[in-house]
Amino acid sequence: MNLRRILSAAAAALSVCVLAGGIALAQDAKPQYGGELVYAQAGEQFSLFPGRNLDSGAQDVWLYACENLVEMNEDGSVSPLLAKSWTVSTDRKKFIFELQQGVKFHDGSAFDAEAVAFVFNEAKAKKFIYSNILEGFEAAKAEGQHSVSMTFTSPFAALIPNLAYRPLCIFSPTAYKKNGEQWMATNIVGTGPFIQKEFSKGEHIRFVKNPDYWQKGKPYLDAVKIINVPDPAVRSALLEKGEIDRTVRLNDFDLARLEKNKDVKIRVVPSTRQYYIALNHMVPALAHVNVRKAFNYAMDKAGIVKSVFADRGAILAKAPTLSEGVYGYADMRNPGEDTIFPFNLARAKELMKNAGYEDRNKDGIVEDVKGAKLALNLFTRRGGTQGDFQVAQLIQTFLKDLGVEVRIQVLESAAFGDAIKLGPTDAKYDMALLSWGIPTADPDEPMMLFTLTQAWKPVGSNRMFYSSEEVDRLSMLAHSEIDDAKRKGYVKQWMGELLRDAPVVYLPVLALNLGSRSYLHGDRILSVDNYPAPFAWLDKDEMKKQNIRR
Amino acid sequence: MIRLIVGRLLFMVPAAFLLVSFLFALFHLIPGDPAVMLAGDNAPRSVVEGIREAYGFDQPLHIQYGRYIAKVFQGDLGISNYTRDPVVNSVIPRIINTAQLAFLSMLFAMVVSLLLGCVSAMYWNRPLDKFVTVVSLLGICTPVFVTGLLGIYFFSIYLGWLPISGMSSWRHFILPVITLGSFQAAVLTRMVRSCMVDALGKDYITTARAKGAPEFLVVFKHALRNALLPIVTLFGLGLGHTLGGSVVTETIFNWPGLGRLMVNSILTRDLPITQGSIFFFAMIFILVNLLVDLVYAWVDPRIRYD
Amino acid sequence: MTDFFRRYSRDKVGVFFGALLLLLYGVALTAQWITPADPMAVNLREVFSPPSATHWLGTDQFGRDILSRVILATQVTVKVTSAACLFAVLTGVPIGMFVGYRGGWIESVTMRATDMLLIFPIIMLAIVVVVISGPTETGVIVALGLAQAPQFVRITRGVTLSIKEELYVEAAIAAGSGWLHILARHIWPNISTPIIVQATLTLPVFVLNASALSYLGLGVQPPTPEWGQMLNEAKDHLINAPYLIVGPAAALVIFVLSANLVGDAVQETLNPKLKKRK
Repeated sequence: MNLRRILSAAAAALSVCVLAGGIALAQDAKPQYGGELVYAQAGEQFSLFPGRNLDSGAQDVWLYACENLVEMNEDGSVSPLLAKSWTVSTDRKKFIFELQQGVKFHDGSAFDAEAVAFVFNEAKAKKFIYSNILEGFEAAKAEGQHSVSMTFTSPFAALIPNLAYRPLCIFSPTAYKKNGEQWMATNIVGTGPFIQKEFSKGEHIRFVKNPDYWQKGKPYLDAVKIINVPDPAVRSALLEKGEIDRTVRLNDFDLARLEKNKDVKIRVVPSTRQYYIALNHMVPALAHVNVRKAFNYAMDKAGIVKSVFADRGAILAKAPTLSEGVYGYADMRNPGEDTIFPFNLARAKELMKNAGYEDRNKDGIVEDVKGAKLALNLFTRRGGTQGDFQVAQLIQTFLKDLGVEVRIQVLESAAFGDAIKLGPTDAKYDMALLSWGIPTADPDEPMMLFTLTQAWKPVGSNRMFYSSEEVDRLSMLAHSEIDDAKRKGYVKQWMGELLRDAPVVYLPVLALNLGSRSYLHGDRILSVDNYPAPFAWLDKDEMKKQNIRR
Repeated sequence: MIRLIVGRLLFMVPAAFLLVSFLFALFHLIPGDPAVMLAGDNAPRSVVEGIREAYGFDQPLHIQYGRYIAKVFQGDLGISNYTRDPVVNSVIPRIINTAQLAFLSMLFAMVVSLLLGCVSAMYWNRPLDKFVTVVSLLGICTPVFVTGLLGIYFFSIYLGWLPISGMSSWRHFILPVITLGSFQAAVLTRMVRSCMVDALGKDYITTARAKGAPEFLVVFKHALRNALLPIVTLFGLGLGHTLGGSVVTETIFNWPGLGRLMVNSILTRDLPITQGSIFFFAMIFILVNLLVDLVYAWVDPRIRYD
Repeated sequence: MTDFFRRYSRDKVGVFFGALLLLLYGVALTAQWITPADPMAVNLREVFSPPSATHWLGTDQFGRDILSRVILATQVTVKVTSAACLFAVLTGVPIGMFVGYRGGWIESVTMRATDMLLIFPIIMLAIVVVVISGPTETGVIVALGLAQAPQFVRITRGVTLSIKEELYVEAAIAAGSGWLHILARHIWPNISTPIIVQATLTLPVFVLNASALSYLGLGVQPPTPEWGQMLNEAKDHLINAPYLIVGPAAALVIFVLSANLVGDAVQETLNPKLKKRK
């Protein structure tokens, strides 16, 4: 899966400029020029300024106009984009990027080393919302007109894939300095193949072709129009009628019907977002590894996937926290199993018994050795991630079958955010239903923030208050290891430790979908919740055949 | 009259000030931190603190409050936490959308209720009257979201005639307007009917009938004119309720209106937007009430507001 | 009291819907025992089954029996709306009586404040309150109760003002009775009837608003079933399982209809003058 991934700086330095752009087009047809792509998005309100927004819907808008130094491909590999190549110093703390030449921002100013250095330094100074992704970042400096360096306080293995994360796109410093951050909230000025023309918040945004685009012969489309349609039922109706060319986030229960339409192409890919239940290890019962494992085995994950996600919107997890497409991912299932911790109620009950929890008075609820019944709360929110409170209802049922009484506490998003940000002594939850997404497709974030002892809330995001010396050791090693094979080895060992300790209950992985008309070629869906189509093109004859006139 | 207008408008100033201050205090009392929500679940504390600092959330409360109030008095309602766009830019288009929906619904309700109410009164205690009464009773007892869901299922999914949601063409208006309007129409029909029954019992109606005026003219000219006064008041009250009911209708049909903006902003703790939308809502309600009183005074010159 | 029932029993519509409302309350009280299936029991082998002999109203996304959930939801609705109504009466009536009796600046301030609150539609006030108190059963009760309380303040004040002028009240004041004593012994007995009527008349409003809050996702939270929330969930499956809306929608309409007609009938019985106009 990740063989082609270009990660180690050494390898990257050798691989001088591999396939500029790296766009996989349909090989059988020749791209046609012209036409306007109409794309319906689900998002409703966001800022267009990359420094203040991590919303994937917004990223999907500005990617037409603003480009990163490097770009992520469907298979999770990273290819050069605005940076042609890069080298790393021997102490592995300094990265030097050689930039593309002759590139201009939409406002006419030149894209050069000064511009790149300004963006990253400004990100640090103004605390852009993504700044933790550049952990240990000291400064960026123009080394020449087209050569820029970035220095770090410690070796940083995940830099290159992190640079592909959309919010780190290089916007025009001239426009930013002239108009200020607030203006940038509604205007995106970059080097990309399209220039922003119309913008009406919450309704639509329109981009037109950039005639001076640096990649010759591209883009193919004359314009891209992105409209906002919050209701999934409406998006699927628009797609079926051909009023739009592509859309995302269709209702899982609608997909089977849409697939019967031969003019419509549906693609579903697993995302990098995995659901999990954070178990509070400060709760005596949950401090017990056998109880945690029993909870894992008690979950009918296939049942969740079927009833909440119509067998389409989610897939069974094959590894803890990491999913396909993430660096270092490996299939961690035992041979013959459909998921990690496959559903096995008998085994779960056995494990509970080993931990000292048994139904002693035959009331259907297990008790500990002292006879106190096991009752836990489960915090969940409504509408944070797709299907969340529905999954919570199933969890309650599954744990009831195990003899554990669960009280669901549904909180509105903001209150939930407050409830799960507290440290070990203040946290009120026994269990909390959450999901972990990896937008950079690199395990560095979960390793450093999720399972590390130093990352206990409120500092990091270790809400389980889980602590393991071995996990901490492996995480630190992987964080600074630049050798590919070694780093992957650490990641795999880390996953192995997680399976041994079961710090959380591992649930299915969310899947993403993209629906497009069959005449649209070259649009993509990435597991990091991006749906780029800047180099897509429309097949005019096919459009005519389908009676689409716009 | 002028005193009434000036008085009410002056009343708006302290009302708005209290409202805005109350909301400010409220948002700092209830759980939920916009910086946490912006940063996402997995962000470490350093990011959350970075956002607080960049957005000025780290300032002491009284300073944040002072700044906000100072800006409000200069006519600046601040910028949204999420879109980083001036509140007015988000709120004004929403007001227009909600106003369109509310006024069309009210128009629908007025036309329907006047017709049904008068017809019902004309055929008082006869089968047609009974039928109208039962239908309007059912209308009152059916929540807006039930009407909306049935409408969506029947007209959009089963028959495929009308779009489900959005507001890009006139066809998008049909279902939301009827959904929101029919509840109000049902309430008003009952009231128009009872006003008309009252009016039809008056002596001058008997006189008009005795003089041989056609029944149609009797009802729609003589009786209606005299029943107009209470009816106008009812319509005014109805407009307020329609605006309030628009929150639910907007949610069903994904209507980009002020009500949904308000609810969403409360849920995401986007304080500037909440204050902006509630502020405008309050002003609209106060103005609508003022308007109703003025119309009332205009229709019935005996009324004096002192 | 017997007189009331004798007169009420002449109203056929009132009697029929009164019986229906009593039946609904009976269902609510006994809901746990009369559901045909366990309303919480998830059965993933029977998801989205259309109405059948075993599941009269079909099953939902998790294979739960809709009929049983509709029945259990009756209990939730009755509990929440009755409690909210009581809450509104208990907060609104004492304030209304007090300010109506006392008068002075306290009265003008209170009435100004209620006027301001009355400008807002009840559902909006409820939304604000429920967000503060959190979407729990108590939260919804407080939200609906508080949102409706200003109406009770205004009505109570109105009737208190008129009773205050009565001779026996003035006599009691002259006799040196304390205000608490006067309110409890002389005023309350004479204003209780209009307040009871008002409470009966607003009950359907409580039901409608409670379900609207639920529909917006701000009401009682899953897995506890509530009609508005069941309809909200049904909306996502209108294409593949339209029958999901039948049960909760019908239950809601029947409940509100009965409450409305009973309210009308009670009002007419206590206030026969109204009868003529109808």
